[in-house]
Amino acid sequence: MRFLAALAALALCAACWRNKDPGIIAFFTVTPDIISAGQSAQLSWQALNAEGCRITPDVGAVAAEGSWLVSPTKRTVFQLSCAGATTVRVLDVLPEVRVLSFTASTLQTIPDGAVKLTWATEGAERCEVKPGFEDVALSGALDVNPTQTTTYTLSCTGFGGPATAQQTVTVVPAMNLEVPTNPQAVAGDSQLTLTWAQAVGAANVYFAQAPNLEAGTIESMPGGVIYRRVGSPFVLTGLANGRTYYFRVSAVSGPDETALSTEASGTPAAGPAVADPYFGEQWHLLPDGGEDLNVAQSWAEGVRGEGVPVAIVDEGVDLAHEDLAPNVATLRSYDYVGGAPVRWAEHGTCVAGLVAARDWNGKGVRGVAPRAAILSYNVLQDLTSTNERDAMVRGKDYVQVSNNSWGDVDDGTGLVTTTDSQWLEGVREGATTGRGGKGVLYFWAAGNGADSEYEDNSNYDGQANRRFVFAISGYGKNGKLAAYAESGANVLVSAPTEGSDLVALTTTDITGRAGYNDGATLGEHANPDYSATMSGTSASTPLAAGVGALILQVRPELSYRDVRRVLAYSARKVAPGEPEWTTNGAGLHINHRYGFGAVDGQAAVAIARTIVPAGPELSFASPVAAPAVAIPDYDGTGVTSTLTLSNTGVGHVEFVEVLPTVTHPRTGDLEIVLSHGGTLSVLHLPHRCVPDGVTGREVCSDLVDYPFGSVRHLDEPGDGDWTLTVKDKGIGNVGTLVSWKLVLYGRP
Amino acid sequence: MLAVVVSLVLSQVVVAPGAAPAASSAPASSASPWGRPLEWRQGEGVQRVWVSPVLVAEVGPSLEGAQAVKRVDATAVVVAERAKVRLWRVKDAAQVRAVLPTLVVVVNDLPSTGSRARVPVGLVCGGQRVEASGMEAMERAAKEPGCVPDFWMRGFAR
Repeated sequence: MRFLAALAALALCAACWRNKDPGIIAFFTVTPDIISAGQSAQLSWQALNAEGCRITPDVGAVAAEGSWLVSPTKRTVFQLSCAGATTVRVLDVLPEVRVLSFTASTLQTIPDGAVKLTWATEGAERCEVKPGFEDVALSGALDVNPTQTTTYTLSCTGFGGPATAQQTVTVVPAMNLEVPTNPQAVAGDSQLTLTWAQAVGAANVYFAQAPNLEAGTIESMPGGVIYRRVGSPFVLTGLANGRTYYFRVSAVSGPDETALSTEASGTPAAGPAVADPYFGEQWHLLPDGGEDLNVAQSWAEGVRGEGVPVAIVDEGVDLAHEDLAPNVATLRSYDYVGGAPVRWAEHGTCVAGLVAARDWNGKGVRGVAPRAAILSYNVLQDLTSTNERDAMVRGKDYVQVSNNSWGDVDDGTGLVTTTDSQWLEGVREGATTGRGGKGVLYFWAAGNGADSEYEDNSNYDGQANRRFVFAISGYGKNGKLAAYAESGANVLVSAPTEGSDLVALTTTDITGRAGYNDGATLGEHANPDYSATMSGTSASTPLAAGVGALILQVRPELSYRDVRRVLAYSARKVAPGEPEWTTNGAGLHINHRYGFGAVDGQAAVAIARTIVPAGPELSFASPVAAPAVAIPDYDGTGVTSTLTLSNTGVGHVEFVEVLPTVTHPRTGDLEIVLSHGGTLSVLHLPHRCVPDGVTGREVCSDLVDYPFGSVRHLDEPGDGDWTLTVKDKGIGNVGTLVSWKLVLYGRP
Repeated sequence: MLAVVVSLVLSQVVVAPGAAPAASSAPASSASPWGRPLEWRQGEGVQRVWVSPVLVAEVGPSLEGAQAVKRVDATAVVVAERAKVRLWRVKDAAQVRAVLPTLVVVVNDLPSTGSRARVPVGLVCGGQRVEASGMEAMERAAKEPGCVPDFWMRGFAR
């Protein structure tokens, strides 16, 4: 009875509410809320206390509950109104991708004839032109030189679907291929614009730093190179001001090539000097900005890396960047994937700017060697053993400095990683036969894993650890080592980067908003073409490489081994209050964290001017010591084994390789130290080992003939006692020092 | 049926004569998903790697390829990708490769996911690159003097 009364009251109350209260919109949805043009979305709604509703635009009066399909062609805001209640929902409509035009400047040409493809699109996010171009502008043009009849396909994709268009260019045999005439070189700032007259076909430009060019001998001439299948005008950047260059040109069409034209020459000359707006932030270059590179005086003396080619081996470089383009060595770069988009190149672009952003051009920043020539090898886009080798030797007689702010292993694992054999062959070849036998200078990032829980060390890195490279660590503006920067007996020198004081480096970023700086990030520049956040040993390495370019400008005849000595002898004892500074047997200050110290540009240039080249390298491989002694567990003394060497012939050590074989269930417990005449090289330190993600077990590295490298014995004599000490500083495992040997490299 | 296929694939793993589990790293037991190491000679030394039980490589990645991997293992995730190679972490690499034989093995330097992972995408014999990939490349590197695998690896900008 009480239930029926309550029900009646509820019915009365509900009627009352419906009549007097405003409507309530229980829900109003649009699904999906983003469509492409031509697709439909569903509006669904329910209103309480309303007889009906109205949806605008396009729909009109509807029931209080229902659904409706809509297909707008543009972004639409739908409004639902029900008895005084109102709400809105937005339906975004992605634009249809359309190719507005795709044309060729001519539909018939001869082999290698120049054809310009031009296109315009709308609604696209990405476009490519096949064959040949993976990533092109959404609307733009490019020059092609087909050798046979070719159908070019423009393919664009976007949220609104794909769209394609095609153009076929018919290639017919060439007639009357004639020698180009009137070759001229118009000089600019670090560049030449080459022009010539040519009736048909493309051209091969024969270019060198000496006169009397001949086709058969061009590549043996100083700076001799053939730029193949290009057109007039042809702009060459990255040249040295004040140096005279010569060229001749032939016409080519398919397999046919004419004789060479007459010879012309030009001498690039400096343009007007306009200050670089972000230079004031580059503390690593400023004399009063902290522990800087000390390059101001060298610059003032004209030592700016003029024309010294530096390969940026990395993910790629934005070669069209306004502050890099003047220094880009024309057509010397190599793309390992073919058509790699520039948006992949943020890291390499930052690195390139630290080496050689153009100075005094009124744009952005400066590099350490602001007149060096830059080229990009984007090997990180396809890092195979064979490509690693290729990147080390490609252009080895042209490239003088190779910057490598990367590694093929992940930093921070603390695992000892073997060297890829192809890479090793590459750096060996480049260091011993490159640059006319003087050796390419390979600068290598020491690594960023020191502050990981596995306490990584640069000696465990199969690349930075090798004698053919210079391992570079990094310190902050205050001179203190960056906590992440890896130590090691292999570390040659260190250079500025972001340290614990969190002052990063300012450099170039890829043009536009796709790089590290999108122009809207706190602490970054409003100009997205530059970034103030470059850090890591990736940043310190190109600074050292830039100094390498300065060194080779003043003494191009120095070998890579000479430059290693120049860097060591000129290094500054940075942060002298830091632990572990000591002096080796040749009187050089050394520190596993900083190497021989901070790179000092002026001091390096000064020593480079006078150092006596070392001459051929000597090496001495010791006999194998096979102590086969047990390593006592958790013991502060450990075991030692001494090799007493005499008549090594190495009067001045330059690099030492130590190859121990240790069996131990947990090599992460071990400390391994080489000592010689009071100088210690700490090769391996106790650390945790990385757990396997499958089994959960810790797995440590094997130590079987791994060649730990040390630069710390530089210019010590090779003869004498070399002692290896192995201590087990962990509890619960025992092992054996099975054997070890030494290889000394140096000079008499 | 699937178990049979998996065991066939596993049986193709090459174990060089005399190969033994790592001496100083935690040894892989017979029950270990890491199996026994693959070896080849390089210079004066012997190189050793382990087939990853959880990684597979798609050489020439594509949308279709990704969908195929996801159909076989819905939990598969991409752990590294470049223009020419995509690495997938899956529950059971051998099982996924058995179903999708175009996928390539991934090898680790140690029986640990924390160690360097590489994909044998070719072979280098006497300085010349030879077309061979996956287990074929590893087999030939083990057997043919002067041949070493051409590995793809993820590069790390520092």
